[in-house]
Amino acid sequence: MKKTIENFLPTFKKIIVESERHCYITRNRDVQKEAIEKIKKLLADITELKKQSISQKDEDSANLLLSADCVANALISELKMYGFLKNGEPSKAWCSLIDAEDLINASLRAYNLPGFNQEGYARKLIYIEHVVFPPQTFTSPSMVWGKTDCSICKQEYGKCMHIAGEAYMGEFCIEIVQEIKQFLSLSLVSHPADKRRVLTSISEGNEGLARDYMTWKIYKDEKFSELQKNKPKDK
Amino acid sequence: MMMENIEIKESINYKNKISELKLDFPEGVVLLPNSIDSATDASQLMFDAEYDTVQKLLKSKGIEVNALSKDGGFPKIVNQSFEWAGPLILFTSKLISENPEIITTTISTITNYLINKLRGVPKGDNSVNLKITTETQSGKFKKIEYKGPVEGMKDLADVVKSVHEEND
Repeated sequence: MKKTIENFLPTFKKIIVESERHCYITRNRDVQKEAIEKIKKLLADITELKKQSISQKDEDSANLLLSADCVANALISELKMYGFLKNGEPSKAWCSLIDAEDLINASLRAYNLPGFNQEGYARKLIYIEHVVFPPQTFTSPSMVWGKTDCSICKQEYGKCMHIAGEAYMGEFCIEIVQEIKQFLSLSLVSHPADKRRVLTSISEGNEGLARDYMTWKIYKDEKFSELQKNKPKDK
Repeated sequence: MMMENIEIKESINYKNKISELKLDFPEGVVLLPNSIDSATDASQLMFDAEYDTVQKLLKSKGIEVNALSKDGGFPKIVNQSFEWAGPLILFTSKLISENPEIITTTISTITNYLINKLRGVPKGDNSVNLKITTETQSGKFKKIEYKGPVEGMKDLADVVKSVHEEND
């Protein structure tokens, strides 16, 4: 399997480097779509190789391929981000960027890919976050969990030896929440665990208008109008 | 007493507290809920979300570690902010005398895990909140709270050891 991986890595690197050339807002939309299709073909190869690694119980190769999968998907997410920005869909673009950040961070946990600067790519995505998008306001829930299970062995999470976020034979361990006992609060924070939880709008006066937090455009808030219509009248 | 990112203060006697809560005192490195200080009943205790992970990490390095427990277990409180918050870690004098390297080994295991976990996160944004309590030579307990980037944890073990050596 090692030989197969050694032969695969130069191909992987070539496609990744070619795709990175199109990770700019100025690139033509069709060129970026073609890059996404090329990466998707690469992902099919990665999936097949990972299956072979797993069947041969080669954890090192399986985790390397998991990391490669994450990098490839991170690039797809970044390319999609540019598409959404060009389409005037900045909120979707933001979510795609955060997907890319999460994926590259996951690739770092899974395996240090030889010849690929994963940390450098992670830094680049953070720069995009701060330069392309306005500062965000995040929400962070606080809750009480009951039973949680391990996604790898399906046992109760506290009873096995798998650690959430780590890679095992090509798969990340996830702590799966089976029971939420209580929702405690929702806070506004500057550093959330999940940057997708953003404030999307703020109300503008009492006339059912809201301002989109990303575009700063004012729009009619249909949900607010509905709430106002159903509001009990004061006695 | 304050050093950069580290605050040291007097704390309650956890041996007495655990007994008051009618719970058994665990062996080895002890993981406690951060809410234990103010709890008047075991039903009020909730572990921080990362205590399972910390327990597994330490066990994987051959460290004897046990979380405070009761029938039915304790629920976990999850604050989904970015800061990594660990459980309260307790070192008794007996444990340290039996294994003088236990403080260093425990803290370095957690530090190495966090360095890997937070690799893609900008240095200014990675944030750790870890509380450790140690029994001193005079039988008191002191709490050492670290709040800062993972890179700053390199001196934490020495601080905990020097607090343990206190005899006032």
